[in-house]
Amino acid sequence: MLLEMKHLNIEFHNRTIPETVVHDLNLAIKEGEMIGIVGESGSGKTMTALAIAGLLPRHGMQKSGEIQFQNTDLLHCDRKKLRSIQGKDITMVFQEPMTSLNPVKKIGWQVEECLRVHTDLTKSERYQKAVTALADVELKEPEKIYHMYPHQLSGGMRQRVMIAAAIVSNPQLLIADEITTALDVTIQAQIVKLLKKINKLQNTAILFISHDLSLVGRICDRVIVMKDGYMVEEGPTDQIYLHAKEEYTKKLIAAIPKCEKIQL
Amino acid sequence: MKQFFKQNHKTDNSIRQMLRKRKSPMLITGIVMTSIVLLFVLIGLIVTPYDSEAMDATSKLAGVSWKHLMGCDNFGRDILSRVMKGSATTLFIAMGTVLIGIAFGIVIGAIAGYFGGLADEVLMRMNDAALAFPSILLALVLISLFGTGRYNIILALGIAFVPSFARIVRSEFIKQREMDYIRQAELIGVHPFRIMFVHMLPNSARVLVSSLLIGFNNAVLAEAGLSFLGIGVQPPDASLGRMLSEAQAYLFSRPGYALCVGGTLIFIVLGFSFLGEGISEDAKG
Amino acid sequence: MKFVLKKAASLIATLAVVSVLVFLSFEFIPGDPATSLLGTQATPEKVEALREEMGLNRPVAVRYLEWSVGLLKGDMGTSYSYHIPVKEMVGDKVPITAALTLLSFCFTILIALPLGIYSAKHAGGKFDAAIGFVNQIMMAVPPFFAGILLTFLFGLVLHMFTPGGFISYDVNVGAFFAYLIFPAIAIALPKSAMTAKLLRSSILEQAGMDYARTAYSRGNSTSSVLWNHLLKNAMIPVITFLGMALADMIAGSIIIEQVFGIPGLGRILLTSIANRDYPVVSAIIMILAIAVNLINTVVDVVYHMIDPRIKQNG
Repeated sequence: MLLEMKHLNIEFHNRTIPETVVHDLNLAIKEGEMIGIVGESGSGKTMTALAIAGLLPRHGMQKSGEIQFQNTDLLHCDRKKLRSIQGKDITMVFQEPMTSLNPVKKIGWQVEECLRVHTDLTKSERYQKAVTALADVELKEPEKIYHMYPHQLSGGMRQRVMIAAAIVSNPQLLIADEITTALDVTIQAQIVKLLKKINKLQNTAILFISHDLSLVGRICDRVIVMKDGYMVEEGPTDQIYLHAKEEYTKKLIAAIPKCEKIQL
Repeated sequence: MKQFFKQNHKTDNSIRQMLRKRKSPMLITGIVMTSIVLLFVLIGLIVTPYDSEAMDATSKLAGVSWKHLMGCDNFGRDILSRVMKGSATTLFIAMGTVLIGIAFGIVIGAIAGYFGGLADEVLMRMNDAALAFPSILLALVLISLFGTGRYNIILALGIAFVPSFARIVRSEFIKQREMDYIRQAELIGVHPFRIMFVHMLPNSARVLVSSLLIGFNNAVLAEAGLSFLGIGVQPPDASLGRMLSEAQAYLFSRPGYALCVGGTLIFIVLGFSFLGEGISEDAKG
Repeated sequence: MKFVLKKAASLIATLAVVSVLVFLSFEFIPGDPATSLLGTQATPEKVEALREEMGLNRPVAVRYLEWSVGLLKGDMGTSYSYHIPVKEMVGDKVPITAALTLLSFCFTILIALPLGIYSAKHAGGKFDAAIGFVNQIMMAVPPFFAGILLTFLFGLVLHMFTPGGFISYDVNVGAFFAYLIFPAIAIALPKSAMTAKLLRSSILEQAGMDYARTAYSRGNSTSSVLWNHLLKNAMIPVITFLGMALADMIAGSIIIEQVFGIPGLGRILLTSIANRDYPVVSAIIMILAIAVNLINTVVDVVYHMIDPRIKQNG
């Protein structure tokens, strides 16, 4: 097992009434697996993702349970240990490509960042790897893009840059949190294909979080359905899509627009 | 009858809600401090412990005592009485300044922001040229043209403050202009001036109030500075800035003189800046 | 480069507008310079002769051109009250005011940047609250009163400098700067309080941005997120503010010069205003206008270098 999450509970305390956003969640990710989490907004998907990436705020909330990754409990280990995993073994791509890149830094600098933080590679080695990563995410003229600023790129290109920055350090796990939501439908399809390719190419496990069942169904091996912080159902993708047990899952599947054919 | 009760109940609820909503401590401090200042000045307008101009040769530079709570100046005048009068002068000038600044600022900013185009271009070019000067420098130039005295100071500072207000109003109006309710109003043919002053202006109130308070503070400081230099308010008018420049001469023998006057000035400015920040904080949270 | 040229052009345009305004405003003042120059000895014949001699009878446009061309050549006219070239009166005062302003600016940056960064990094802590409180009070202290307090505390009580004991830069440069330290602190205190507060809130605003979270997700520590990511973004509004603050400090130094008895531009400006010595006033105003506008232009260029987004919008 690459990652094992046991009895994860996340509770906010900075509200007037404490609010539990994730209830007793168990989850396991194998090496090189593509796993999807689906659910409507507010179902606790993003909180789960942030917990794995170690990005939950330190104050105003209570976390219990454990997230085992390479014999480390990501939920309770010290900051230094966590930082040595963040960006090296676990990377994350976020929902908003327009704001997730630093506006005053060059693309290349941002793509190289994981290498700069975690490795002793020389400048030219980092450049080589960054350009390769930019090419891997199918950006044309990666050497030119390397020297550009985020505002010169479109949303889809920026999301590719974010993916390039997330794969440059050959991580074991890539968390993709709603990364297609802010993009056009045609670009969504390209990005999803790209993730599949990266998964095959580098054998990186990908946790693909989305509210779009058709996208999840297209690329994931396994699917977890969440609602209001609880796991509703879990299983291999075909099983979930064709023989859902829970009423909620069936409703979700029934809500997929019919004109779109799901390729399983 | 039933409806009346219903409505009444609703109002009651919203008032309760308003009271329950915790005001920021900064706002409360600001309200308390400005109230103290206003009370102090109002009392000073009606009655002061002594005549602020009466000189008493026997108590020249007298220290703090029950008789003279802040002591006496080099002419034996009661400092507390003079501080009360001086604060009134300062507040009067600051108020006049802000009124001139905001009145012209609103008109210029509104026209430039709402109509855009050539009007905007011309007005803002002139505005930028004026803004290229720090307002106190602009006021200095204007005073050298108009001469000194309290009304000339108001005029000079007022004109010097117009550009910054105009800029704030303009950017607020440009923001508002793009909003749907303005488009709606334009669509049903509301007259532009009605849109500007009946629709847009009230919606800019929050921004205007906090910039008004900042401007007020700047005016207080500018007036005190000019009077300190001797080109502001002229005797016999008492002014905090002028008193400070007199107090400086007796800094070694009577440091309390400068401290009392300067402390009052800081208290006034601090009160209004807490009030301004409290309001904008309250609007956010 | 194109941008710099464009900025330079707009600098010249603004200065031209300012010079016209300055010239015209002194043109329309009630009172005739020749009459006031002659004072009690004024007779209609003498006034007329003097007007002719001063060239006051020629058209406004001609005189403006003469005045502005003179300015460009460094000829600023003759003082009404002292009958010597304005250049002689003003020239050796410019370095004094410039030194005071620059020193104040340096102090502002030296005080404000560490305080702002520190309190942003430890936002919500005790030290942050203390800095916030002190800042709030500092902002309300007018520089000239700060100057009086500094004079009292460091001059009269602690004897760290002699109030009124100004030493000119051509006598002793070290002593000159030593004397300027406290006046510069008086100017810098309120400005650095404002700058620190702005920097703090600007950093905290940037810390809430998505890209900050991205930076954390790559294993950056809090400090490296702050220094490598947030600071450059957070400095953008601070630079604009510092530009305005520097311009303000020029004006502020005029007042502070009075408090500390420094014979800079401020003192001549004030006596000339009192004496209605308009050639001197307008010359000093133009010098200050040039300084302020140069600063604004430099700020724009720096801004341009820091924020790549402006380049596209021109």
